[in-house]
Amino acid sequence: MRRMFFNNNKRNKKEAMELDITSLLDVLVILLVFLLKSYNASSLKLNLVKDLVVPNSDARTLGAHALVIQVDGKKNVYINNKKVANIASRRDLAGLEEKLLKKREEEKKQLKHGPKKVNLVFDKDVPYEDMKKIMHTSAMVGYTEFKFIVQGNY
Amino acid sequence: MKRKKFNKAPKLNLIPILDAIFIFIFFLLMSAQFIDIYEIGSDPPIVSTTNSKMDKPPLNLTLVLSKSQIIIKTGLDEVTYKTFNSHQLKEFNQELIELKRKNPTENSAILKPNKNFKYEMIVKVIDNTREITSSDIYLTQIANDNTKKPSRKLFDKIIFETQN
Repeated sequence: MRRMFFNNNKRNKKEAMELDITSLLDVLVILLVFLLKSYNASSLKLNLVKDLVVPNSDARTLGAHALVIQVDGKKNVYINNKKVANIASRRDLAGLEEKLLKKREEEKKQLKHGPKKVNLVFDKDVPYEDMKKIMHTSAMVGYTEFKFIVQGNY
Repeated sequence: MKRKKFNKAPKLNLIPILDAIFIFIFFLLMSAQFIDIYEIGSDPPIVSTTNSKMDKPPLNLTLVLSKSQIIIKTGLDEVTYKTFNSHQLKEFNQELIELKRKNPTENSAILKPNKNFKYEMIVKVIDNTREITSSDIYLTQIANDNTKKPSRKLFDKIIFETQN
């Protein structure tokens, strides 16, 4: 009897402990579906600055990688997430043109033909007067293809 | 005495699949953007230098966006065609559908917003200029190879007036 007890115990020890991972798998599948749904194939990676609300639109064209100019609700101008000017200041606007020109020269070295595309991210309340200043400055430097970045309306 | 042997159901080895899923999740988490971002293109104006005689005068669709109005102007001398209040976007879109029906080869619109016109409103006007908003209306588009296909596009080339 005693021997039998010991034998049983040995058999139990030999079997590897098995984890029940069914619930973990369920969670992973849900996470995977959610992430796949939010996956965006666009090459444009955008980090929005503070105080900037992108307007909604019905547009369905995916954005592409290019220089990003952002203008927030307080009229601050950012080039690739770096604050460079405030639209209200005339001196700042002159500086903006200089900085854009520098950026374009840098990009020209990497690309054979000078880049023309520029991604413009404006806050929804920015008036056309300010948009025009940015568009005009960009066009003067050589960025003539404006891509207005908007949020999907779905 | 014979012992009864129970045939245990074979268990799937899920470890490699789990590994793959984990890698996939990391990749997706890194590339996830939690707002859907799209672009609206605006091309610079192109100057045509062809000498060929035109059968029809160009539409030269110009949209003047004043404080509370959207004015549709047509022709080279920019004659006012119709005026809408800025909240009458449905009617505005309907009028553009009619204009597109009459001028199927035209696809550009010039935007002239007032200096105080807000960007959000400009985007709404662009949306209504580029595409038919009601889901049940389609127009016939004639492709280069003379084939006809249904289309929802109206005037999808938006040109801003940027002169200072």
